[in-house]
Amino acid sequence: MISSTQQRVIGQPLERIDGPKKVTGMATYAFEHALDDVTYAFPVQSTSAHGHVVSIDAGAALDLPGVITVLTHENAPRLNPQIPGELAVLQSNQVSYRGQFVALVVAETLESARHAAESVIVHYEEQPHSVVLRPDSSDLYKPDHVNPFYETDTASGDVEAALSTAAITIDHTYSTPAEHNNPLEPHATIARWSSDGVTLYDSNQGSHRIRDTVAQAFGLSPERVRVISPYVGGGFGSKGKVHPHVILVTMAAQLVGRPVKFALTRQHMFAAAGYRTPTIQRIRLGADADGRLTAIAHDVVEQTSTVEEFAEQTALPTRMMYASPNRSTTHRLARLNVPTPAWMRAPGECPGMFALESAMDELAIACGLDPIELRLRNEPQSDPETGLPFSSRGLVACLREGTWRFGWQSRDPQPGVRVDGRWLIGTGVAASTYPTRRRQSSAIVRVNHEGHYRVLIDAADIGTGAWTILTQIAADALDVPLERVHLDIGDTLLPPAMIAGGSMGTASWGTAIVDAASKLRARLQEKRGVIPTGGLEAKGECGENPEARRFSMHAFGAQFAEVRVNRDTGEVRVPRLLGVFAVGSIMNAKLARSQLLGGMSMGLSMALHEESILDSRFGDYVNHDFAGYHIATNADIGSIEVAWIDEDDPYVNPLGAKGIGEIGIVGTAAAIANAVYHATGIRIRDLPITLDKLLS
Amino acid sequence: MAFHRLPGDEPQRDTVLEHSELITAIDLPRLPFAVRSHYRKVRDRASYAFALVSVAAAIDVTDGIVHDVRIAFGGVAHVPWRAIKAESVLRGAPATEEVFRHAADAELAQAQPLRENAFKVPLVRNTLVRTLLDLTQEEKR
Repeated sequence: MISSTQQRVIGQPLERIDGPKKVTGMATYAFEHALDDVTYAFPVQSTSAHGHVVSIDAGAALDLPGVITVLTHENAPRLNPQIPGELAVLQSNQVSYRGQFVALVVAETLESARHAAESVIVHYEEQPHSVVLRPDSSDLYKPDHVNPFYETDTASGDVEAALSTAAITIDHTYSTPAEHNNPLEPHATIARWSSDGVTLYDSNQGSHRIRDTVAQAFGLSPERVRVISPYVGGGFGSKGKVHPHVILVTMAAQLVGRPVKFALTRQHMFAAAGYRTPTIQRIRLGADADGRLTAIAHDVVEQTSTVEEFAEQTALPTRMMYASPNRSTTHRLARLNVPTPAWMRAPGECPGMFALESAMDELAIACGLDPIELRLRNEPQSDPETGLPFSSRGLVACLREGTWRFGWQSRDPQPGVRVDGRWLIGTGVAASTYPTRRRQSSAIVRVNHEGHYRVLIDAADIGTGAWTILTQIAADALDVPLERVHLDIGDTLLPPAMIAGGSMGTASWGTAIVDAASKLRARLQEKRGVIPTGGLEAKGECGENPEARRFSMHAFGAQFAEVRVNRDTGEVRVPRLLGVFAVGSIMNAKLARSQLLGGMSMGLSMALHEESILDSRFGDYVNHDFAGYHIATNADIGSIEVAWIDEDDPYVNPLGAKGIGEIGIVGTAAAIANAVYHATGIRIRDLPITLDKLLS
Repeated sequence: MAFHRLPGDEPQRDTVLEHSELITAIDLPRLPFAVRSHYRKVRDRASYAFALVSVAAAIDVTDGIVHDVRIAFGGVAHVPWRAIKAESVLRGAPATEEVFRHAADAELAQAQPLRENAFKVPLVRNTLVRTLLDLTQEEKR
């Protein structure tokens, strides 16, 4: 816990510390680091979805002015064969998906490299490819676990028996399309080798993770890899892991003996930087006449690649959301000739809660109950999966708070009856949830004899506000004014820390900083407050939370949507969203609001727009740019109100913070789909909700 | 001669412009009744998107009868689509929703949609009818 005599800065809506640097262009992003003697790389991607490379003719490319080399599987350095399959780039002639890197041109300028890449001629021996996810595919398989290490299937009680005797049953299949993360800053890496090893300037969500993977790939001790990433322009999960371009540029720099810069284009990102798997989800609910659940079953089909397994934990939230004596969840995967799916904001919870919360709305209608009342009736007393008590569970409070804030009380449940001119109007609600966890992190806090403090931790600020929040936490933990604290993040020379992922950053980093600060204060006390001329320092740790063995820990929320659907065209507008969240203590009211608002905007975008469209003939995502891959524009966003309830949870971490990076996107799409049903009487179970699905 | 062309054997050519030709002037003859015109663009999102379908229309109604009308569709063919058949159904007919619907159907009777864009037929029908209703109801006010 933090004891402070100063006015606490935690919670205050401070401006971003890094804001002025960002808006004046002084914050250096990965590609912008200036290095002497630098060269540029541009890749050649496979035009085949399955097969192998027979030959590569790089002669014309090498003859072009400024071209230094062309890397192919024939001349690329050999990597440690133990690395994940997606990273074994240029290690064989195999082609596993369209868009896979088959060569890399290095040249004196980016323009030369790009021109030369177009001149590389690759011949393929093609094999039939399988790229379309089908629920009835015969070769679906059961993965050993789902991301990261959850059980693949769970079962308790007898779902089939309960469904056969239930007064009311719901049995529907919902689907979500492939979606691409598309952070504003494309993935970029500069690699420079020296006698000390290799230095990478890289856009990522956690430098130590990048360091360890690159060290493994190149057979280096981790100390010989340094990764520098002070500023990152968004990630949404896609910069949490090493993607092939990082390996490729590191190989290129090794081969040419000069620094190499490599930034993915927006189009490259649709094959080379991860995406959310499409999902096909069957939900079965059984309830008694009062709407009390007697059975919940959630069966998920999704995809992975042939090079590496990624199994999204889509049914995870169904395991703990609602009380029911009989429950089961399953996950099955199709191994397709596609890029490997990966993390995208709230993997698991985001697509899973679209299905579950749509089904709950359908159940409420079948029971003749208000959807909020249905959820109140199925509120569990303890975690239905583990039997553990919740450290805190704010779902009911969020639903109640939202009820009056949104004006839900006066809602007429009848669908398709509210009209304003040519527009039908409806409202919908859905629940949100996200697990509260923390992971191993360490921090050092130093004070010099002038009383200035430095906080050292390899945290990452991917736009979340970590620069600011960690400084606030340190100031309170040290009981000193904010101005006396200087933070260093985004460099593997700093103490190792959890990546910015799983909504665990603030909890993990903050816990380590609080620990370091408290140790430093103890040392200062030993010295009776006199700082030695050499200064003092202390190292703090965040470990696994022992309380996690006693409590089930989750954040919750309730999302409300108002939609308008045009009666002539089926166009959908969302004039109003409200999200009420129970997410523990808020570290910075302004930045927290931004995070939740951003999550809900992305949820709206998922509901109405985002869909990566695969051309089954060629196996590529055809809408691989911002003209074709629609993300909500400013004009699509109406009023978004964000609120949170007071929640004091002493078990999650010393800060009481539950993590807010992901919960905002969980449930938004279901709230909107439920509102579309209320407006039109048409139930859309397949995202996105485009107008063709509503035209009668 | 129409400026835009259908794909035919040269799908790479959108217009009749030959190499080394460029447009030097566009002549827009006066169309007095088009002071009352509408352009409606229906998109997959509210802004920054191509039209799924668009309808441009001007209509001249006297004593409840359509005296003259101009209609063009976007997003339904390789060229901006002048709805000649709909226009001819409308000329001389009463300006009612039923007639507007009939005119739209006449134009769309020979539409050849594909699996993924079949929704454009009802979409352009509804959009045309609504555009004409908006124009004529505006006139009544």
